Amino acid sequence: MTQTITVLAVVAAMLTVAARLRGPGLATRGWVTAFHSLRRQLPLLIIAFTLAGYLEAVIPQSFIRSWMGAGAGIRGILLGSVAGGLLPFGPYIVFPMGATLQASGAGTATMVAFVTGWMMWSTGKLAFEFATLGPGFTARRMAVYLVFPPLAGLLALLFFGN
Amino acid sequence: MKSAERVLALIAAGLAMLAYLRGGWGLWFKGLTNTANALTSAAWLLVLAFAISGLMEVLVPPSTIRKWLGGESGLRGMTMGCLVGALTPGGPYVYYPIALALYRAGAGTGTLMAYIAGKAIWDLPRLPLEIGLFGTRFAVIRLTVTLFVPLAAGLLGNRFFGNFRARAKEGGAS
Repeated sequence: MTQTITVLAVVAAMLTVAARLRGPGLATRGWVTAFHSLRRQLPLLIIAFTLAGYLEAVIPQSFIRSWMGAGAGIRGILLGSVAGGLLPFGPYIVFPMGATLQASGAGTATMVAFVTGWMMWSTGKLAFEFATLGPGFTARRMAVYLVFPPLAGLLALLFFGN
Repeated sequence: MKSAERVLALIAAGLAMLAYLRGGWGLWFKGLTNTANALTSAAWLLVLAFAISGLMEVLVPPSTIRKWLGGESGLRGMTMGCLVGALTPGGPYVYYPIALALYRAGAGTGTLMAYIAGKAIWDLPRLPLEIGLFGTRFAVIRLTVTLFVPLAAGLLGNRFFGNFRARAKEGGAS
């Protein structure tokens, strides 16, 4: 964790310098934007972490292990894809929930399918897509994207195990 | 409170009640301890993740993205679409309007699908959060097995729906 934070701090510092070089006040504007969105998302973050914390407390680990664990194979991958795809929330909610599943014994391939399913099938974004590009585009995009989450899970299972 | 927050708060309250019914105050406090531990260990990570995303938002405004992709088509357009998708900060209310503008500027179905998939899969501003919450190993595996996805989505979109023109908001089918 410390290592991750150090790397992120370096990236943030580099972006700050880049913004500073790009224009006067740009770096400050970036940080102000960041703090505004953090403040706006804070209630949601606290609720999401509370949800994940209690989920971890009540969810039987044996259930997660048998349905999503190392031995779950293709069934786990399909379940993960659908579960991720059905969650209509942003990353600040879905990632803490996913991390809870991971800590409770869900396998790597299942989690890859879960995260990819959420990223690509993303029910939460359908309304925006309908409104901008139209349902015809959404239907075609879903037809093209349908295969990828299970495929990503299978590739993870094949190359990295569960 | 927004509706998503209300629903999630209800679910969290339901889970907290379940914890109490299942294991008394002991399990209830365990849930609370889990929450506190996760929040304190992720606090700096969250601040930095938001900082990176905010800085990218001012460094790469939507007008720049439209300029990068305007008029690009074919394989070059799709590749650019994936890369620019990866750099686009913000949620769907940011990148769907960009996608619409790209469509109006003449981008094909494949380019749009590549752009949306690039944003979904490679999303650089979101990466810190993924690494922080799932760990570096998981993030590397996830990125490795999905590296080809945005370009493949663009190619498939072009192959099957190359002739389809998305409906512009006020334009009607074309």
